[in-house]
Amino acid sequence: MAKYALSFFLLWLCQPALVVAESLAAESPHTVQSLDYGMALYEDFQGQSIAALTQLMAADKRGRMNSRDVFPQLLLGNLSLSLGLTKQAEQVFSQFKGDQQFHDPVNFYLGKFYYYQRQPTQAQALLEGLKQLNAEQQQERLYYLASIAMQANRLDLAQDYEGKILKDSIWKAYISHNLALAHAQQQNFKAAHQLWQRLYRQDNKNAELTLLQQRARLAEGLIYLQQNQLEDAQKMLQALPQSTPWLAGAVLALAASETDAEQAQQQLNWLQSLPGHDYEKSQGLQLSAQLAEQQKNKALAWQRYQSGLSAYQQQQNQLHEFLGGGFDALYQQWLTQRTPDALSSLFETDSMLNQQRQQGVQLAQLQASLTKNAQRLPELQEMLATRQQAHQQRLNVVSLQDLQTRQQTLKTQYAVLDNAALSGQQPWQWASPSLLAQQQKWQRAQQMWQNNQTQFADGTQLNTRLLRIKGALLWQLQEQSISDKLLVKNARREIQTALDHNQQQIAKVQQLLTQAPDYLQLSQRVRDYQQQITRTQQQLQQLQTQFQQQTQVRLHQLLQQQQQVLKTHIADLHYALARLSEAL
Amino acid sequence: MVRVVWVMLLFLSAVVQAAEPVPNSTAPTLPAAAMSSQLQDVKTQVMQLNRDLFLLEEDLLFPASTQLGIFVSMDAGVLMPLDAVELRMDDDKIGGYLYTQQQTQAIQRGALQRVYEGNLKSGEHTLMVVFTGKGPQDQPYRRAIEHKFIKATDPVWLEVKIIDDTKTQQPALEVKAWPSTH
Repeated sequence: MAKYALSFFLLWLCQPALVVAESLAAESPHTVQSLDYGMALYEDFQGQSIAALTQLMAADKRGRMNSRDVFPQLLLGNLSLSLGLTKQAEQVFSQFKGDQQFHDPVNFYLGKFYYYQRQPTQAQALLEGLKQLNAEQQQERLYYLASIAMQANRLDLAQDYEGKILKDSIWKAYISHNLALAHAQQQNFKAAHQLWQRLYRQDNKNAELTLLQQRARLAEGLIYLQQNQLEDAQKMLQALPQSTPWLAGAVLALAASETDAEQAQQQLNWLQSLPGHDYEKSQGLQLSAQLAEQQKNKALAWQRYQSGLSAYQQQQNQLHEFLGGGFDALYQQWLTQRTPDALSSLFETDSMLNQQRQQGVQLAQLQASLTKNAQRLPELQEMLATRQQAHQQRLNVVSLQDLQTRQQTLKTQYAVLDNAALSGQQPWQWASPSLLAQQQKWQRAQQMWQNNQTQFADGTQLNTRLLRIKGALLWQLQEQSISDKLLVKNARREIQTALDHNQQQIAKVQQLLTQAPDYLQLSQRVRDYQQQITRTQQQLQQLQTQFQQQTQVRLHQLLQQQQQVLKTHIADLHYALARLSEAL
Repeated sequence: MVRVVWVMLLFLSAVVQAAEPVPNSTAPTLPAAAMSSQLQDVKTQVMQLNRDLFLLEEDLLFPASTQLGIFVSMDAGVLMPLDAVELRMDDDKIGGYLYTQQQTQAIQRGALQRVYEGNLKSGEHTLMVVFTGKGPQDQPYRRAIEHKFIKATDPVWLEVKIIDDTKTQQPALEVKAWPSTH
């Protein structure tokens, strides 16, 4: 029986594992190479792969990422790979093929890519002999090489690689466990035991390792069971916490293998004390009843068969409900790992379903990111409209053309003042009208005197008077000129101030015009995204529906199988009860 | 009895499958081999949309002429574990942040946290960054750095670096201004 279980040991050796970019940071632990790369790492280190990839893709689109920036590009490829964008990942990695400067890190990621693409030969060729990697990458590399060796059934080679991995590395833990299973499959239990012992001794730093150690103990417990070393098996299982996944099944197996009825009953009592696992507990009740019957305690056997029957029937009713209409709810529960206790072991042990769940979760994550973005769009559209309005209002208050016209006018006024008022070439041009009238009178008198000076008796006296008047006029002109100059100077200053102010206004408006975003273009972009998001959401929804249908087919199959199993159990129990009722 | 054990062992076979490392359970995994190219195309579309929207937001919310970004980075981070940061611009508080252990570890591992993104008018400004928390011996610490800069029409990106000075055994702060084409 146990051999039958062991035949399943290595069915899933090549399951794709998570691709992580964690080791990239160690390339340059404390030097931020670029802002985008640093920010992408920040997201990625917190498990936000989508946000990290978005950051790098945006940097790439904006030309902020040079195609030869090897580490950001490798991170981009690595993240693409982890999200299943294999075409994009291959494109990124391929551009570095043959790169000499970063030969080892590039080959590491290319090798990793081929490993997950299930092309072990290419992966091995790329991964062998790489030295210029950080410690974390080295451990990961050795893990891949060991896994490839195991796939080729080269356990000796895999063991060599395992020996080279640092003892506290999580990669060592995984490969130790897998190698132990491979040895167990080949009936080399000693080697398996040694490997597991090493795994148990590994410094328990995180939950992941704890889970793996628990899983290893469970597996080793089953091996002991297979070898009929029940005491060792019990010891191994008792070392596990009650919440360990699959422990209930292992305890049931232990009880079933036990030849001592009392021991078996103790183990079955232990099984009943474990949380959840309704199906295994029902089987435990059935087994317990069989034990009582063997011990001729028919009343107790009757009671336990009844309890078992009732438990099976309850599970059957639950199955009916799910098969009858609660299927959508069940799908959601399965997707979020909240499957009802009665069904958890049924679904959790199906590797196909487990792989599908990872896909389903990823689809749901993408759908959620799209929905979130779609919700942001109206908000952005509104913000855009508000800003555009404010911008327009500011432009309406002052027109650039008006400002420029005014500037020209001011400049002309200034030039007139500058050229004429202070040139001094025509001093009488700026005389006041009364002074000008007096000056004209004087000119006429002067002319008259010059024409008729012989007729004047006392010409000298007249001439002297004319000269005095001229002097007085010139003095007045001089006085007025000084005052005018001051006026002009002030006017010039005012115009200059106005010119400067106007120039500043022009500069501001010009800045407003040149630096303002192209609102029309931005609005169009938002509208385009809205349409694209809607389209993509529809496509994604269709895919999700298809995916859900495929998954539900598998869930349905499993439920129907379980229904058959339960029917058989119920029939067995009815038969046993009928048998007992005759005897009682 | 035999049937019970057979069914149970079928179930238990799952326990002894080879395990695969899943270092971060929140992160997605590779697609199954049967993953259709249609699904991949849609995923690519989604990622491109995410990218385009990211850029649109960048253009709209933080135009280059007014953009200011402040980032935090650190080297070993032994002498000054990162607990909280406060940012002041020209004496006005513009932001702050309380770190989780995961975030601190990410920064220690070489990542860069954008602690502030906003807009700033042209002219001369003074940035004050204050880090607070508890040091290795549970000693409360407070370290600050002031940085004067001029905001012109190009975006300003400032990286505040926390450096462990091994000679003095004291944490040191440094501000690095990134060029606008980083």
